[in-house]
Amino acid sequence: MFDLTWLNPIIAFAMGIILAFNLRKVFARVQLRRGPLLWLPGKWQDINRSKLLQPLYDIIKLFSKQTIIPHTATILFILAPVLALICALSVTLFVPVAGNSFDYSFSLVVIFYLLVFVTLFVIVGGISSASLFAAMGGVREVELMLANEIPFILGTFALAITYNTLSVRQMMGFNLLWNPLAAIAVFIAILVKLHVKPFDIPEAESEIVGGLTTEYSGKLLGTLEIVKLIMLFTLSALYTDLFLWVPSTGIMSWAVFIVGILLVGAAIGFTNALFARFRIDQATKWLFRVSTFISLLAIGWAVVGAYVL
Amino acid sequence: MIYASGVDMGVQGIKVDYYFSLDHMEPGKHIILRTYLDRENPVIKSITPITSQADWSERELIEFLGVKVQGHPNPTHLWLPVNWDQMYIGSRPEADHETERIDAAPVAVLPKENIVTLPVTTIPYGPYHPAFIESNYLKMSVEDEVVKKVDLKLGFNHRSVIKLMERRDYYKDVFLAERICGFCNAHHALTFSKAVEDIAAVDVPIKAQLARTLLCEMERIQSHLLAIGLVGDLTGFRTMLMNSLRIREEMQDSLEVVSGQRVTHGLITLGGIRRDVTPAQADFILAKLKVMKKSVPEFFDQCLSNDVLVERLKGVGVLKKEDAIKLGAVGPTARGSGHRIDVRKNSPYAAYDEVDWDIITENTCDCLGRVKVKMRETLMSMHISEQCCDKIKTAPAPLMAKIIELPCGEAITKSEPPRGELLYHVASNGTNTPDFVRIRVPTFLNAHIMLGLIQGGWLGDVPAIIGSIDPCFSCTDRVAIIKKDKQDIVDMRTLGGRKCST
Repeated sequence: MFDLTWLNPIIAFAMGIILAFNLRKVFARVQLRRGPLLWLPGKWQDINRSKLLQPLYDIIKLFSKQTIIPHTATILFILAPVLALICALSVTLFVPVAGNSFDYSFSLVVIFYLLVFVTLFVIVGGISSASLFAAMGGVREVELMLANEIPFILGTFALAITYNTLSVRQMMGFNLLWNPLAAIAVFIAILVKLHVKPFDIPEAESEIVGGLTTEYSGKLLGTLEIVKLIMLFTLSALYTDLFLWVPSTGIMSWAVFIVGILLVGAAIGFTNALFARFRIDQATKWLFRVSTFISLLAIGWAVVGAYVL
Repeated sequence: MIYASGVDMGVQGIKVDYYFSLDHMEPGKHIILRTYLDRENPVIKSITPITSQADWSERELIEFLGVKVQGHPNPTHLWLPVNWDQMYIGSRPEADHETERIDAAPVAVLPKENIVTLPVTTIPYGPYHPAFIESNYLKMSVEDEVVKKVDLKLGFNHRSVIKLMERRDYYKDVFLAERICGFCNAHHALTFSKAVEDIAAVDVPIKAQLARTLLCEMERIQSHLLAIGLVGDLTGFRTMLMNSLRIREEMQDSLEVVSGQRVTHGLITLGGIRRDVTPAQADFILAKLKVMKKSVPEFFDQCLSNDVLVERLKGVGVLKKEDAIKLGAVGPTARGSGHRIDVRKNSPYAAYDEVDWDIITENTCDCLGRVKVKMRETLMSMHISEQCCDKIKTAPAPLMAKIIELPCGEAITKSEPPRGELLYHVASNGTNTPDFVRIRVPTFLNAHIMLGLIQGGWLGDVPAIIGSIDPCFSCTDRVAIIKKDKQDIVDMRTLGGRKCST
């Protein structure tokens, strides 16, 4: 029987578009604006149409534009977005989508590595464009990534300790109640990975014009945007699976999954709208202190829960 | 010390004026030192070693009039291109203007002090950058996120306004003055009109004074709200920008009711105002102000309660009070450092004597202090506007004092646009066009201070500092060039090397 897991990348892309739309809508609503249009009755379709697929239209537009490659760029400039896309699509095979994924006894570690590789390839591609702004963005991205990996790993390992396994499918459960500290730590880590304010430093438009992706245009930029969408889906799905999952099968599992993803997406959108942007030294200090502290507390809680009680 | 300027007076030589304002010690007291220099060999000793406020003014003299200022520490071009002197091939620049033969190649050997030649990473906040509204070229040499050296090149918005003013009559010059800047346009028109009224020695009627005050204060409100929103945008807080623009719309509606325009109100003219401010309009403005009295403090609370924004602004770009006085800071930049200067109190104009208000200062001397000064000034301006509206409803009728003839004379006036202190020096020679006009805008000094604050700080602080000082480079780029001979005008068309059809 055809394993439904192989459909995960396509589901990732499709739901990524809807999540990106969700993000923009929540961002606009918090600012008392209208935001992109979701639905309009049939009679009014000639005034305005639904903009639900707008992220897809943006990507298609990017793919139809000219790709300009700076003459100081190396071959990695072209290869890196493709490699990042490959890693991003691979992660979706291991993240349970309504329970479907390739599961091993160590799949959590595989997910870590692939997520780090995605960011790494984006950094490598940006820096190899030999642009000043990309260099500044690369430095910031590396610092942020280093500060962020520790709380992320510690937070998910707290769950690993509770369930005594490294396989994601066995860790799924409503862990928001059983280990809320880990939930907070991993949520903050997801915000940093997705470059959501207050942590969107590497994409700081008002300081370094485009950050890492300044010199990208056309098809390569389209590839990077697809990577961003897939990362948005993947991390929301991971969070839903680890912390908001009510064990169920069949159609109920899809319902739980989709509700969970939309909730996580809305939470990310709210945080995006409500904060200013950190300076890079303030962000790393905050992550090293507060976020690591919370994740260490989460591990303590898990240890107490697993071995003492 | 506020300004130094020169005028090429033809046969008499180059007249150089140094303006000093002492009106924070004694209201209305100014001193002007004037000298005439030989046209063939204009040499003057620099006073920049004594007071660094003269730095940019003397660079302007060097650049545009060819005055040799001895002892100036940094005589590089601020507005003009670096290879200006070599740009004209052939010996007669006047002939080259007609034929447009310009050697427009980039300069082969950069000047030694130019920041681009230093062996560190130079980040250009180039002519187009999302951090600026207007275009200017901020070159920073950065080492590991710390800014080591910073340099600014202006001139991208240069429109030779002063030279244009000399060719038009006074009534047209009011409109030209309005269009120097979009945020402080009523203040430019007001200051120019006041200078001409001082030359003609007419008294402006009371209703016109109140209407001018009302217009200026409403403009200050909308400019400050936009500046506060921009501080949010530059630090990444897009929500703050959207909210501030939404609240500012109430004030723009009031301005539109008064003058019919949202930006350049053509309301102020020589001798008074052009159109009446009716009691119905005043009631409309009062209703809008009542709505804003609730929404504006709420917005300010929301901004200041955001910890990330406060962390971005606190302790950043510290300008101590002694430095503010020494470097000649004006406007909210000075008042945020505790220096109590305000032209509206020191040399009162329009109806500021008759309304009840106070100068706002903060003591924290950093970006947060400057933003807080702007916030509290907005509330104070709303208070002033309310009083003006109440008084206008019962003011007597005459709107304008007619100016019959203008004797030969000069007048210098100052006013307080949202960004600081504005100086106009108008001279008339009895004809219907001015003899010369000299403008000193607040950003002229504040930008110099901004460069000092950026140097030595983090790169991530640069947008916060720029946002809090809120420079308006359109105002700064307004100088005219007079080269060799009064008829010889160089403006942006020949600088670009293309021929525009007139």
